[in-house]
Amino acid sequence: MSSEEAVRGRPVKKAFELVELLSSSGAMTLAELARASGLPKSSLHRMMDALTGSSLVRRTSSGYEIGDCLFDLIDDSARARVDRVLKSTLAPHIIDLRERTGGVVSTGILAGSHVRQVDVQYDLRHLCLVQRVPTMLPAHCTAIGRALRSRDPDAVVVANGELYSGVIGVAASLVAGDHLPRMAISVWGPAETINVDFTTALLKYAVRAMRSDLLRCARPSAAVLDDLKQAN
Amino acid sequence: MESLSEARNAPGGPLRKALALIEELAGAEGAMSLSDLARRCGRPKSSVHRVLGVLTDLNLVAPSEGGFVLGDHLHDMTRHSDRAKAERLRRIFNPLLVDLQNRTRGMVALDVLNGTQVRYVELLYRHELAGYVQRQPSLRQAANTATGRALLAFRPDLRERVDEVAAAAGVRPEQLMLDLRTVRTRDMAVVTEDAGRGGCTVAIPVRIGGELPFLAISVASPERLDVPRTTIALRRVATMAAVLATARPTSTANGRQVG
Repeated sequence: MSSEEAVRGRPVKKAFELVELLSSSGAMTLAELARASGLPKSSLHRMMDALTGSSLVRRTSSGYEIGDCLFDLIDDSARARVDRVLKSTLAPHIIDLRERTGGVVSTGILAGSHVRQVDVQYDLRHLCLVQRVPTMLPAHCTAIGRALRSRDPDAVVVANGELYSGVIGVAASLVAGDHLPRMAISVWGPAETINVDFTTALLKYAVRAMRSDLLRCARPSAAVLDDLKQAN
Repeated sequence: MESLSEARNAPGGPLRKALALIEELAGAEGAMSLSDLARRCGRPKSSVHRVLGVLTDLNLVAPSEGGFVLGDHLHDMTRHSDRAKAERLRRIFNPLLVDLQNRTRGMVALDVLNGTQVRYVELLYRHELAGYVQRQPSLRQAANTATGRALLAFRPDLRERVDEVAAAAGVRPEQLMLDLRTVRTRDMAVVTEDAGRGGCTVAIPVRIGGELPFLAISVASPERLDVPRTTIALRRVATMAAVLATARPTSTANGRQVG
C-alpha cells in the first residue's frame, strides 16, 4: 500500500474508532473523547463535525452520543426485512401450535454446526426449562437441527432426550428445496407432556399453512423467497 | 468557503463515501460485486476498491462469494443499544406476553425506540387479527404510536429532540409535549387509531432496576378495547417483566445442564 493510500484510509478508520468509543461508553464530552482517542482537539472537532453530518453521531447538550445512522443501516438491511416478514407472518401460526400441542415452539436457522433459535414462544409453565436451554443448539442431536439438515423437505424429525434427558423435540423444515433457504420449526418440551403423533400431524399441517402464507404475504413472493435465501 | 486543500483533508469526504458503500451493501439482497458497487455509487472501481479495503480491515464489510457483504462489526457496534438489549430480553419476556395475549386477545407488541421511529422486537397475535396486522405500516413514527409515546415521555433528551420527533410524525411539538406530560402523569399511553370502530392501542413503559424505560409493551385492537382492564393486565406484565429481567442472572447460574 502506498503512503498516499494509507493516508486516504485513515480518516475512515479514525472515524469508526470514535463511533466505537461512543458506542461502548454512551455519551462523552469532547474532552473525554480527546483523552480516549489520543487525537488533538482541533482535528477531533473536525472529525465530529463530519460524523454528526452523516448522523453516525449526535450532538447532545454536554457532548456526543451515537446517532441513528448505524441502527437504520441494520434495521433496513435485507436480513432485518426478512426477519420482520417472517415474524409478522408466522406469529399466529406459532400461537396455534403452542396452544394445541402444549409445548415450546422454536424457529431456527443453521449457523455452522449449530442451530440458532430465532424465536422461542412458550408459556410460564416452561419458564425454567427454556431458561436452561441456550439460543445456540448443536444441530446433530436436536430435532430442529436434523430437520434443517434433512434432504426431504416434508420430513418430520423426532429427537428424544438426546441433548437434555427427558426432553423431546418434534421438528419440520419450514421452507426447503434447491433454491429455498433452510428454516425449521420445532415443538419441544418434557417428554411426558408431548404427544408425538398428534404433534407430528399438527406440525405437518402448520408448515403447509405457513408456507402458503409466506407466499401470499404482502410482498411479491419471489422477492420474499430471494430474501429468505440470502438471509441463510 | 473551504479551500481545495482543506476540502481534501476534511474527513467528511472519505467518510461519506464509506457510508454510501455500507448503505448500498445493507440494502442489497445479497453479496454485491465490485463493479455493481462502483456502478451504484457512480464512482470509479479503483476508488471503491480502496474504500472497501479500509472497511474490510475494520470488519464493517466482509468479502463473500460473488462480492462483498456487511461485516459483523456493524452489529457489534450497536450491541449496547436499546434494541440489542431488548433482543436479549425478549426471550425471557415471551411467556408474559403470551399470557397477556391470551387475556386481552389483542395484538401484543414489545417495542423499542429507533431514532424518531418505533420498532417491534416481539409481536404476538392470532389469525383473526391477521388483516389488521398486515394493514399496519411497517415504519411507525414514535410520536404517532402508543409505545413510542410511552417511551418518548421519559427520554432525558426529550426537549432537545422534540422538534425532530414531532416533525417526523407531522404533529406540532407543543401539542406533543402536552400529550407526553399526560403520559408521564398516567404512566401509560393510549392512541386511538380508528375512532369509528373504537380501535386503539394501550402501552406501558417497562422499568428494569430503576433504569429509564427503553422498552414498552402494548396491546392493540381494531375493535373496542376495554382500556382499564387492558391497563391492569399491562401493568402486571410490566412489573413481572422487570422482576424476571433482574432475576435472570441467578436463575441461569443455577441452571443445570443435563445430557
